[in-house]
Amino acid sequence: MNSDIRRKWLGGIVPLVALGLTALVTIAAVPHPDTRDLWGPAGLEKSRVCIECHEEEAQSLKNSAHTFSNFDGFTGDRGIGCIGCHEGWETHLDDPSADNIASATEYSMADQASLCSRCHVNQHQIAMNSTDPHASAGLSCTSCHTVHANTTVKLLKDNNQNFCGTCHKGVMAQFRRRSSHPVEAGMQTCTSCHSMAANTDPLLAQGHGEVCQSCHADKTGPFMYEHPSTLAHGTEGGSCMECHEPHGSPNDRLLTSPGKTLCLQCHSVPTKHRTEHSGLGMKMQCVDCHSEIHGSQTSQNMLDPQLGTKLFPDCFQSGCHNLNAPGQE
Amino acid sequence: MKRKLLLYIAILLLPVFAIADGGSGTVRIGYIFTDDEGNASAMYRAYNEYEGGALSFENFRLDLNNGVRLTATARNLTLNNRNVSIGLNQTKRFGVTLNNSAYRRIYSFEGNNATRRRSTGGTFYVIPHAWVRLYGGGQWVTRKGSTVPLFDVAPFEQHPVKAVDGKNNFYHGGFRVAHRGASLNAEVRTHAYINDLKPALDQDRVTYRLDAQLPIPSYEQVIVTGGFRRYTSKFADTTLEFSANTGWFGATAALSPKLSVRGTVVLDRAKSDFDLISTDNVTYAGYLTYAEPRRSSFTVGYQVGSNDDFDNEIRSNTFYFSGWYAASQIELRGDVGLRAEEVREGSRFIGDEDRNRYRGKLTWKIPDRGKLQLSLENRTRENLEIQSSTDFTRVGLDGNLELWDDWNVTGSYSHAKGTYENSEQSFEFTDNVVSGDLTLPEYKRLTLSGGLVYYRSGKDIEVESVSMRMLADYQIGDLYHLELKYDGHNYDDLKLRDMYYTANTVELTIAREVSF
Repeated sequence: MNSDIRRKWLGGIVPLVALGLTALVTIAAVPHPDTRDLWGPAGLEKSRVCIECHEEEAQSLKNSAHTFSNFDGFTGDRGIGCIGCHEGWETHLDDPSADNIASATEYSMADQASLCSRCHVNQHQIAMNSTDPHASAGLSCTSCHTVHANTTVKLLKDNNQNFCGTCHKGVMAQFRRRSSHPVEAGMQTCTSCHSMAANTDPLLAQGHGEVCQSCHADKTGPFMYEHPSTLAHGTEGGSCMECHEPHGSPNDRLLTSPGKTLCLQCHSVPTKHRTEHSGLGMKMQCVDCHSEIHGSQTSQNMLDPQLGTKLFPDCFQSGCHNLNAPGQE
Repeated sequence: MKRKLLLYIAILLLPVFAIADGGSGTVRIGYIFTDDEGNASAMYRAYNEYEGGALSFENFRLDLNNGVRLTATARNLTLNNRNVSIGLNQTKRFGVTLNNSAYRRIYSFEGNNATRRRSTGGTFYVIPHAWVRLYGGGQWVTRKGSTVPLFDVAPFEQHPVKAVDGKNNFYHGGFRVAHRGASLNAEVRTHAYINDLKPALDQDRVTYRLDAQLPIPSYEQVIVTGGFRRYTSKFADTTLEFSANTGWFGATAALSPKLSVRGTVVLDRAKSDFDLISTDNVTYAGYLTYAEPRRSSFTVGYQVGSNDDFDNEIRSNTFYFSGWYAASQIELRGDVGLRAEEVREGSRFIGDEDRNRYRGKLTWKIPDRGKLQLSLENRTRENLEIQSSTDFTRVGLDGNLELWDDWNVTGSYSHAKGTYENSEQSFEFTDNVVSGDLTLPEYKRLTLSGGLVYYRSGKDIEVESVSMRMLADYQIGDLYHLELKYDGHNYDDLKLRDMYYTANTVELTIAREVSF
């Protein structure tokens, strides 16, 4: 089994490499425009002319990442001036009509993305152009960001830490359910989990569970006996969200289904379990005994270590039947 | 000590007011009235509602002449659910945030079995060069009190009380180098659990993460990504170490402006020092996507995975299809995942499994009004070997509409039905969830808004819960607001007589907008 793991790995890598080589050859045959453009000191110098008429717009960039001047001189180190974003400036200089100068908000979605990505090429932009659903939903940079007269973090349109809720109203409603992450209490924000700008795994190869590990490290393992549904290798679904609804749930502990119904969706109840412990109308839940549900170092069946072994159960150590336990004297 | 440290830092930051270029914020002072009855452990959302005078400073912000920005929010400073965060940053240069929160978790009917929790921490980042970002942070979470067994514990029965006194300490640090689409990210995360009552339960975990992303030179339409993770766990009562190593690799390539392909491979091995048993997980996935920008897209994917431990090997095959089409007012989305798991060697309790998922969503965008969405989801599982099957279906309708004169309405309804069957028994439940929010336009300086979440499950589980809120905001002059806020929660498990809870909270607040 483990001995032939190398063969299996190679068996998968070879087709991937072949696929990659095919892709490279195909791309080489198709001409692509070079979208890189540099906006250095020359561009800044040309922008000096713009400020003669548009001082207010220039001032509106103060204290933001796009400030190209400290207003005592053109010393901005970002290397971008007015003409870095506003195309058509040559014509505008000759005929200063508003029709002759472009604003990003007038651009199509694709052109906006193209404009901003002249400078902003990192994980966020790459994800937005590939796996991120915002792009496929027809949104572009200015849907969330605005450049002028804005000094909010990341140039978001709104300083509200849960700005995402402006569109995702349904998600915000989920935070008002019985159990939820404490976003409404101000202890978390959308970006506590949704890292738009630092997505180091744009393909989500690691699955969604990796996000949860940052806070819930004790559920991460590694465990000798993993609950398969917690393995973070699903390309869709899978991992923690097999059982939990991260935004909020009407059930205990953000569970997607109430009580034992969740376990029953994958597990059958063995006949020998059909005692008063586990009858459907009974109060005992699967996790009362299978308490190591995220993974166990001692029990393949995720049993509470204090229950003893399966063949020699030690119910009097479990706490349930210990009449000498504190509170039961 | 940590709270004192936070206070000292806050005091040290006060002189920045003197050199501030401008700032703003909101001061809120008010009183919170609470009234509740029933099982206090039933409703999470009511765990942290306290009665008393409340003082809050929200969204404070100071902009200094040199571009440095100080932000601060301190909610409910006088109550046991306080929440403080302070930040200092300069765009593209550095940032520091500090936070402190106090909260509790209730476990018993009367609320006397509860754990008080405090979370204090901070993060920082420094950008010494436009391509480089250094970052790190720590979070210290303490938990003290007592618990009883979870999941529908009856208060009228005797249950053992377990004392809790422990800490969870998290630290992380790393760096990222990124330029023109290429990046390298390395990070270490540690977690220490310290049990002050039973030191034998102490645990230490370390995670090492390395991720890289690289557009292939001269082939800008090809992006290669990859990474490595190492997880280790150590326990105080043993010298054993459990570890997992995970490597992943992927690539996306734009074959043409409309056609792209991507593939991933994940190789994972978890093992123990103790008995040298290891579990291997290997996954390969590939996707082909055709997209008409802003108009439509269709993706076909295939994944094969293997879970191989000492006794068993389970192989899975998954087909994945997704697509969307957008017209001016209508948008249609859907995806299908079909997964089959086969036990190739050994056995497992549930045997082979077929698992399928179908989802669809129809969106109607109403110009200048909002949108309505109809969604449908179906998930099925089947395990022939144990004659078990499940079927889950959810239908949802939700919308966000601006009605006449700025009346904003957001609402959703979902109906879900789940069935479980095996050779001996069956189980069925239904869920109905209604939620809605309404915001009325300002009328003579008064703004009203409210919301409701109603949940009802039926069949073999019968639970009903309602949460509602109302807010009246009256503006006095240009700077002051008088706010009256009501939150109500009700929870009833109709099959368990002790699982009921009702809470009402009224908050009367005067808020003042501050600018300087």
